[in-house]
Amino acid sequence: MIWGVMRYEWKLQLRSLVFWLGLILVGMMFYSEIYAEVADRVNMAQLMADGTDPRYDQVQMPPSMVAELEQLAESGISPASHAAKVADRMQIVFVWVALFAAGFLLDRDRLARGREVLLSRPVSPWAYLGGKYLGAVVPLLIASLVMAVAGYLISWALNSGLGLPSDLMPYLKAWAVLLVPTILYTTAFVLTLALLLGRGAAVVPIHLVYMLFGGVAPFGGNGFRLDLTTFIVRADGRGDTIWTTDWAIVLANRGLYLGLTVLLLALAALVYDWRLRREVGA
Amino acid sequence: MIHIEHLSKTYRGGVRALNDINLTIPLGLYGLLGPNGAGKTSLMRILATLLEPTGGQVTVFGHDAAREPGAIRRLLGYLPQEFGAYPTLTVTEYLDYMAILSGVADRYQRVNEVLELVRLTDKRHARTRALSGGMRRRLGLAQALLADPRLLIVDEPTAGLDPEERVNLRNLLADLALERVVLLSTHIVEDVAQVAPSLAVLRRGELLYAGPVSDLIRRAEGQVWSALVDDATAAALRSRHALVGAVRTAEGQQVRVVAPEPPVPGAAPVTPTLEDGYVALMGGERS
Repeated sequence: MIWGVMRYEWKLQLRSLVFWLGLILVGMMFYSEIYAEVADRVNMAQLMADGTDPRYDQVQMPPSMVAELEQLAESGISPASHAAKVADRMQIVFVWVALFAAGFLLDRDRLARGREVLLSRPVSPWAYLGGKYLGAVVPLLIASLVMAVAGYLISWALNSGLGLPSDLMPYLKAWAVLLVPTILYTTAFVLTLALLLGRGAAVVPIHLVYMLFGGVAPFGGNGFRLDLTTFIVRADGRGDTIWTTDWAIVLANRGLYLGLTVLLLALAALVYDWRLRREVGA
Repeated sequence: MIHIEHLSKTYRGGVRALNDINLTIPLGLYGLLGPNGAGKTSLMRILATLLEPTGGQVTVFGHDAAREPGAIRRLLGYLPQEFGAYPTLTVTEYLDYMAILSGVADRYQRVNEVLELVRLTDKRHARTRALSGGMRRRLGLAQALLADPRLLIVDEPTAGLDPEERVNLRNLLADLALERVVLLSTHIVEDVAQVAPSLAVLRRGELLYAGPVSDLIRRAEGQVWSALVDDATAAALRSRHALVGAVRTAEGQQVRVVAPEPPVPGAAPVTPTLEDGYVALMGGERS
């Protein structure tokens, strides 16, 4: 039953205008920013290498930037660095898309005036909720994979301008390690919160506060640090990527949030079951 | 077979919806009549295991509603008064989804069968949001029939249907009742009169009548009168008695009145209908 529910919840998600509009608008915004930033550096690197533009005087630049631009001119965009940056930005996109995808999952039944028909059927609340969760999360995972590949295409386009190759694997790796656990966790978090509060709309302000003060940046800490309390692993987008320097911490962080995802889903199922019993006993 | 014993329901806040209801519903089509607020929907929601009673016991085909709601849901098809379907799904997709939730084995075949039954086959690829009100009610009935239920509960199924659709749906319910319990709740007396051999009448949570339709009609014998009156008399009758019909003619108004005595001199007794019996039972409340 869980797969059947998932199949139709997935369809409902894909036919939701809000889902696509959110994905397209926010995605375009972030990609244009990433593209513009990287393209600008590539241009600077080329001009520095040519020595034709006095605006890019190496004496006035910080040494780290000079080194980076020189590396850009020699080897193009580092796929590992760029992939981490793309995944980093995409996490912020997807926690918002997940908010609207998962927060209103159960409100959808109520708005469609279909709750009584659903409740009169011999449905296990666990299977129903599990199917709904998967139906919400799978389109997000697919969309994020498409965006990760789009990130690769950006680096490929810019590197080919320099006559240099690019590599898809770091983008897939960043997707699997950074984006997937973030999407799984956020969707479970929002779903549980919506069940606890009883309304999807009530989740939005709470999620906003959580995002601003707890989710992205750890309390009183640096948002770019790898911290086990931070569900979005931030990458600084430089050459020293998290893959090579902090691999163990990243895995521990991701494992922590995957574990929390399972716990949240169990809690959501219990709350859903409790709510149904309460509704029947009204 | 459904047995209801000493059933009562009081909502949080103290609103009493049902009070000590005792009722046995046999196989076949059974009507449930009553004005708004009578407790019909509460009774049906309890039978559909969507609401827990405050007291009493309900047994559906031997299953206790309080202890075995899952078993009852496997035997149940339910069309609530307020029915809606996901607007972005097509008719077939919606029914397939509901068939999954009902645990139907051969979904493709069963969906086609119920579409045929409710005459929606030509709309199978239409989005549910594109259906008219009548088609949506038929879709509601289709989803209730998916699991071939032994107990079919339909709440106001003919609301919003045109006369031809109403007749078709009534006939369909009568056919379905040959092999199952069909509980038809409505405030349209005509719907019950045409297809239900037995009925129950509720008012303000109390069971006023349960039994054959013919007995309820018989109760009104000698209490239904027809008379041709002027407008002033018609108005006076309306304030004193239950006026179940008034047809304006060139000579005045031909009225049909439920009253224990002839309401005006010259009033002629007429053969009662179920509506007359229902009005008489309600004690002269205006219909």
